[in-house]
Amino acid sequence: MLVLASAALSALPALAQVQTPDPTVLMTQARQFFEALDYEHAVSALDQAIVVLEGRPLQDPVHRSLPVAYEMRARSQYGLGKEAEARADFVSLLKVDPVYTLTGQVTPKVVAIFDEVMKATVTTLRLAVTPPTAEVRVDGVIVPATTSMPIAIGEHTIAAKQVGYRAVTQAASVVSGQVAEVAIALERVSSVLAVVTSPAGVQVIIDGVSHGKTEAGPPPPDYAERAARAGVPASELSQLMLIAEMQPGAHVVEFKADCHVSTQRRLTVDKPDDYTFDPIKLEPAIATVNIKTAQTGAAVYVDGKQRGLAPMTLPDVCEGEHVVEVRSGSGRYFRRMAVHTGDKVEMDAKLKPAFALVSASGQATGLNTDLRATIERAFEGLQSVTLFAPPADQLDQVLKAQQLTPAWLAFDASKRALAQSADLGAATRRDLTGRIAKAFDAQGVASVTVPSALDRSRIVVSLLAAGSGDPDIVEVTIDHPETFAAAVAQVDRAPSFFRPSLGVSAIDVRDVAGAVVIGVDANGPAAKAGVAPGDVIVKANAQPIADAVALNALLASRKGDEALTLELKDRTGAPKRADVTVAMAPRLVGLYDQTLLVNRMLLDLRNRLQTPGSPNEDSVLRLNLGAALARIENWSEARTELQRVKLPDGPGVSNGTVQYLLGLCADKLGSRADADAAFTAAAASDALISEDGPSVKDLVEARRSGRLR
Amino acid sequence: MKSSFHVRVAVLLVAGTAVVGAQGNTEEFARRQFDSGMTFMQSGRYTEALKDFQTILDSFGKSSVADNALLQTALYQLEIARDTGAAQTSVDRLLKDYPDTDSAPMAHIVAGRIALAKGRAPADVDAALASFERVPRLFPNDEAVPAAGFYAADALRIVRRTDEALERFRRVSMEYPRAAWAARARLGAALCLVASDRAPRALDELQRVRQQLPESAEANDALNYNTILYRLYVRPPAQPAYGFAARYPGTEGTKLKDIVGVQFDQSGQMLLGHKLGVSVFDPRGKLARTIAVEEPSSFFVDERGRVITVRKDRLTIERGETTPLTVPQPDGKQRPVEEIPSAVAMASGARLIADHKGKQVIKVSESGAFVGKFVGVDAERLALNRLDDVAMIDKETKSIVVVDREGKPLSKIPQKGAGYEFDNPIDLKFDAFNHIYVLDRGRASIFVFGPRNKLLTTVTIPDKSPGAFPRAEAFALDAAGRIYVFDDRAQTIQVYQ
Repeated sequence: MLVLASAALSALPALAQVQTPDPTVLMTQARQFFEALDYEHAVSALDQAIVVLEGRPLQDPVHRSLPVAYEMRARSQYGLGKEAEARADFVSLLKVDPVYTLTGQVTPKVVAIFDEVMKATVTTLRLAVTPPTAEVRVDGVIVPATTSMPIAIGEHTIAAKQVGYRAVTQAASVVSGQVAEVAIALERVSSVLAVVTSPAGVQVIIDGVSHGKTEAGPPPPDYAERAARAGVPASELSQLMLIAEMQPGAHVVEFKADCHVSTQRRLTVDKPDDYTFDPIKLEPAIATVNIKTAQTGAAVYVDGKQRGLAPMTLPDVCEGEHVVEVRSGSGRYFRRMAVHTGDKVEMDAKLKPAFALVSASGQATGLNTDLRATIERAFEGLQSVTLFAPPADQLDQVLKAQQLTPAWLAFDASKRALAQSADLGAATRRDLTGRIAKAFDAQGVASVTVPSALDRSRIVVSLLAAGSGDPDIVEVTIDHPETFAAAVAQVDRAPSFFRPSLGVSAIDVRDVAGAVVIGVDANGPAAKAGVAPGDVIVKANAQPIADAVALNALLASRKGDEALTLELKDRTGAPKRADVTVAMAPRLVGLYDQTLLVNRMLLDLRNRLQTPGSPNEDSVLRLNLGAALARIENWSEARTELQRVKLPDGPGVSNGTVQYLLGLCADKLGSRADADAAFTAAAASDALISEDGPSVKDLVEARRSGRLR
Repeated sequence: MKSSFHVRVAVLLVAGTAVVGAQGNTEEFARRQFDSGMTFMQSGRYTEALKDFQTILDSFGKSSVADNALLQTALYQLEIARDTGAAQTSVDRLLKDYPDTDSAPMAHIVAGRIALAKGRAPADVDAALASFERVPRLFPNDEAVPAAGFYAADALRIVRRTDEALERFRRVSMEYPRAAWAARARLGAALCLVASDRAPRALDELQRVRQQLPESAEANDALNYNTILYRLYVRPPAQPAYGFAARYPGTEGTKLKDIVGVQFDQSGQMLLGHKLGVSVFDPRGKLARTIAVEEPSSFFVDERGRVITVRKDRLTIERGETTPLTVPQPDGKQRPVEEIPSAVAMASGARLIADHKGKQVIKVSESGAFVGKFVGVDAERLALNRLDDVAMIDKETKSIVVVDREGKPLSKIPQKGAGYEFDNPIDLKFDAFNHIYVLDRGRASIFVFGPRNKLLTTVTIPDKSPGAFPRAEAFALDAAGRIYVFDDRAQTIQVYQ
């Protein structure tokens, strides 16, 4: 084993050429040689180890092995009969560590040599530095300001410094057999303010100038008592922060930290001195926000950071302005709010489909701020949808990733695409609205455009459902607040998808009092009650019916299953009576109506279908959703929705209507055979495309004759 | 001298202020001038209105109302002055100088209407349609888009491309259901449905107009239209289409004699021609005025709403101006048109005159100048519809001949057909749907013919029953299709509804 170790040691120089040997390894090997009494190899290993250790900085823990290395080499030298070399190593040892004591079993002779060397090499240093809080270093090692300590004879450097005092560095020559006395009095040059805060991280501002933040503690031990006096747990205290160069005079010292109540102290510096405040405690400045919602499990965000799932209570919302959002796949609750310390805010978060304002172009009269923010505020009263402006930096990032400019979705009031929007094309726009809406967890996107430099008070707001390339347009005029109210009302105007019906067609005829029945739905309530074409409805629930307009007005206020007693005259003029029950007939809106905000309606329908209703109700909503999707030319999704619609055959909006729409989808998707089959089914029905007609039969006929595309 | 200096300074100061004020208020002044023009226009003071509009164009050509002034001028030229050339010039200027203004969409529509007013040849219709179609292409979200759609549809209806017209009307009503144009489009669609023999489907279409805009003029039209359709298509066969209602209140108590004609004008006034002139009754049946003319043979209401009486060889305008009518002969001489049993005015202002002596119908200009032979029929009575189609009773064949505005034959109702035989047809009228009503004195009946000249119904009141008209002389239809018959035996006007 020793042979092996020797062989390994012989390889060391070669190794040293490429890298510094590990002193720990060298020390281990040296100790093995030393304990095996192989002093020659021990000295050789320690020579190398000492060279390496002497090169290490004082702060390096490995450096602490140097006195041990000297001791081991001194004893090995002694073992080899080299007493002078042994003494020299003990001198070196004591210069490094004047209080060193030998370790292990040592022969009396070696102890005697060591004591003799110590007597000649080590003496005492008596040090007295004022102020006592000064930092004092002897040869770079921190020592107490007032101390009596062993020190090797020779030249030493003593340094002392303290904030507010001029630093001193001086040499000390220590002579064998004499006690070295060193006294240093630091000269005060400025006043110093000492601050400890609870919590740490508090910004200290003196006379309006920030001096940085306090750092995490602990502070000096003497602050414990002060902390107790101030009622602050010591564990919450910061480190001591010293602020030098305090000028004579009165000062205002402010303490500020996020989410805490700011405080301030007054300080008068009348002479150069140390000034200290008791620990400064900042009270938390927080409000409690309690969020309730019908959509349990929706994610709650504060300032863009997710905080949990609704319903939840946020006990620690810092005082100030925040954006609170509750998001789900189908909608979002969005609220900008300012909270104050101690507020208890109750939020009933009604999630609404959301349009993210992701494009702005043009400069509006009198508005230097972000147009998107202006529009967000102007439309915050919306009841049916949410219009929100994502943070500008996030928007920039998303648009850059798609190589888009802020004007990428600009439209004028005539729906004409402007700027980059005009270069994109509808198909690309459809793709982008889908992707960008998704990036912001929104159901749609919106833009705000000032389309004309000649009239910069007119602003166009465009709304697009995710995947739509054709916008809904709402126009407002900056200096006409009523236009904003009208725009909000326009967006909130929700079509109804059902209408009260008796299953009759009635007309007005001059010289005939009452509503003249010209058609009766064979399966409708009126037919069941015996109403026939040619009858004239003259009263309903004893109220005179002047004409068909009056009958419809009366019906409009009725609910499904409500009973009505009709008084009629038949063709011969004979009176008759019919007890009918009001039915709710489906409506199809938005397939053609250019004045309807179809993108908004699409979001609304998707949202409503998240909560299942009756099969009939769901079918009617889905029919309208399919129509809205067809309007934005999303034919594939439109077909999927329409295939789930189950409506009975019959007049009005019914299965024939669905078949016609399925035919349109199949045609657009290139399925000619499917389209023909669906159109044939539609043409065989009495269905209307909407309650106001025309009949799908006519539409199919027009389509087949090439008059309609 | 001193005082003179002060006066000059004061004048300069005032002048300076005026210049600055004028610059600042140019736009405001132009707007006021435009408002003034519109007020004149609405009160029918067209000359003053045009002065205002011209001032805007001359002095405030860069103001925001310059385009509107030009548009109003063009509309006046088209609709009031009927000067298509001047209207075209105004519209061309508007579209050249103000192509992107809020008047531009309507200017394209006016351009289309001008093309249609010039003629109805395929090229005219194509030019009109192109102008209308520019509006949705250039101004896709503009409020003029439904108007353009309506006019395009109506252009197709006028040239009898009925199915295409129907689709276009429907598109307007489906795409803009709440616009006033939707109501007009539904009325147009109803006309198309009836013209293509699908009258029952028009009933719902018309009722929707009443439902959507109940207080509008269109709703009133829809009520009238549905009343007509109800009588002709819903009541029969279970019930008679018409029944005797009452005597006309305006003439009750008086014994009427020597009646030469009855008709209603656009405002719903009934005009009764007799040997002393033409009496005008307001819509409530009260005599409003009488235009005195000695023994007129006929009368008509022209395109400007004026009553024109016919006596011997001349036309007399309401306030006395007379126009002699002559027909050039092959030898270059002029033959007076001596016997004129009937005359009508077309929308263009041209008059059609039944020239009994020449056994023809001639066309004369508004000033009475001979334009040409219109059709070679010895017409007893003429009737004109809104398309300027002319129906006439052919005295020789006792049949009804229908020709278009150029005199080209469209159809003929022979003396004898399925369910009828004329004995002595003496008067005829069109209703709003172009149904033809023929009063046959010999049969004491009124025959009503549908779009393909198929007999729809016969109005006959048994002799000796109240309302019988065994010696009918003339009749009229009001906007709701009520029939007003003058019967020589009853010596009054009887109403059927």
